[in-house]
Amino acid sequence: MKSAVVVVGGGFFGARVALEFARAGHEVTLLEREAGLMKRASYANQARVHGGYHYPRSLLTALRSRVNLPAFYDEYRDCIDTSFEKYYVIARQFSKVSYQQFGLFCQRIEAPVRPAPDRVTKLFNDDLVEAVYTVEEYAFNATAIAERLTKQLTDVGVRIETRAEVLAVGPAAGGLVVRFQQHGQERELTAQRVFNCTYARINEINRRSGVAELPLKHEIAEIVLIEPPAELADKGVTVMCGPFFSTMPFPARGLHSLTHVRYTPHTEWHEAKPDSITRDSYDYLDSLSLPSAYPKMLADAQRYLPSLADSKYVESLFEVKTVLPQSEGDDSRPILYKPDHGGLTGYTCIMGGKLDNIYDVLKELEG
Amino acid sequence: MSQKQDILVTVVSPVLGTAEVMAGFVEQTSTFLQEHYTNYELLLVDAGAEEPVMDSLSGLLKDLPCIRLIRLSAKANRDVMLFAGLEAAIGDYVIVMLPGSDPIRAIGDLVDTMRNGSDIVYGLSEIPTRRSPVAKLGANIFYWYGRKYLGLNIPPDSTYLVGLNRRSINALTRIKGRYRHVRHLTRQVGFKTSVYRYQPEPIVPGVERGLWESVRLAKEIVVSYSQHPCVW
Repeated sequence: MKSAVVVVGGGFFGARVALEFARAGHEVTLLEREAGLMKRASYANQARVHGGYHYPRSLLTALRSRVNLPAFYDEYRDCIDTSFEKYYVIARQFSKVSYQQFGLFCQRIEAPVRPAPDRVTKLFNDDLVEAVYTVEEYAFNATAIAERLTKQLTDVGVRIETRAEVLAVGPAAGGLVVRFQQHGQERELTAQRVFNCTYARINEINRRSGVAELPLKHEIAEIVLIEPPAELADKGVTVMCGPFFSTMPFPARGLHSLTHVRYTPHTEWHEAKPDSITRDSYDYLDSLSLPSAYPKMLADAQRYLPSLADSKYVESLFEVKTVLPQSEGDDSRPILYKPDHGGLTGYTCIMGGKLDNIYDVLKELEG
Repeated sequence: MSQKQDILVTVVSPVLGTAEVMAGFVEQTSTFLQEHYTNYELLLVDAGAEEPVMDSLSGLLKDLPCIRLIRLSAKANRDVMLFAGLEAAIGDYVIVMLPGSDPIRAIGDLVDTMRNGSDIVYGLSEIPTRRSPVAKLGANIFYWYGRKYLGLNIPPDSTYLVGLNRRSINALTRIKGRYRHVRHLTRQVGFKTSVYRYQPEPIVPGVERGLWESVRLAKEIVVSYSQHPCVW
């Protein structure tokens, strides 16, 4: 007999987990705090479809990206923007990777890379830039993926409960009970399996449920949306690997994102560490009134790419970015998969740092 | 409080002197920048400072916003430290100053002077630099030699305090070479300049340059910018 499954969190991971179980014939309910799917971190990010290039300091993450890329590309082809040229740039100073190392790294992970043409290299400040590579990397349209997933979930009979704030998960006869609040009313669901896919709020749900917190690091991250100058409209640029920046298409808005390793994170805190801070990530974000770091991002980025000075600021997306603490040093993006967490049989915490990690999660679920 | 100026200002300083000197400098500079500019950064450059100094700075880095610390991989002289800072600075206006010596209010004066049209503003001490008789003689010889044979016109009372706008920074950092000296090259890159006369604080121990370091610097400037006296 198929069991009842509750997925908490309607971001990309939650939606895909729900879809997978519904396809397998389970009775699935998806609880989402916002008004629709993929409204938070699955939307407010660089929209990068990782081809592995981004992780020269974590070969494993790079290789997983290479493995997962075809699957993600095949599945969401119509939600992915492949129309722009993508360049990875190696800085002369402060870079954690040299151009030789980057070239060798790309060879090792079998990622297509070649020197950029002159028309592109001359866009950069030769004093600060050591090499410019043409790569194959794309951007996803989060809104299109959300629409697709909403339809798919509805078609397979997943009950999507929006504006649903989970109060606690606990043991119940024959499984688990999920208490949640929706439109001012408290409700509850019983299920054999509950998946906590709330990303930045994983520990908030854990705390409310009286189970142990997981060690996580949170940042308040600012994604700046800009109208790029004409010569960059069909290009994406990532300067790496160190305190640099990236600007690339943000298909959900028809704009470019601008992010900077130094200025995108505004503040950070840890959970489940001796100096950790207990707070609800989203409540904390809502309580802040942060000035944009765009002037600083632009001031630094235009030193490398002078034409960026002609870009036009549109708005900033502030969102909580959550990573596993072990990712801090090497920028890797392992997944978090904690079955039966806190001694609650059937309660699983799942988190991934990037969308294509979902295939690693699905493999775990199959197991 | 007056309205903040909507510009990005960088202060570049080498990590010099004691933990107390650095802590005072960082706190005062940070407060001044926060009060006067919408965007700012204090860029500290370390080249092997003592452990207590770095411990003190680490604490301040956690508490105060917009401070960056660049740590060089080896001991280096003041000019190498300052150029490392200039190359990393992102400000529209950049002030180079020495902790414990240059007054914090100079930041505002230099920025205002640059906003009124100067590209580079040099600091000039109104107080004659205190030197021993030997050091004074050596300095006089160096400045005379520089003026006469190297086309190097650094006034004897010039200090390391200097304000640079973005285009002068860009020009300055395009000059590559193993030996680069702030006080010399800022006078070589052109642009509109002006002078800022002020009274530096009495130099505290650890910030002052020693006699032999001065001799080494003088020799380095002579041989790195000119063929003289090898080729007459």
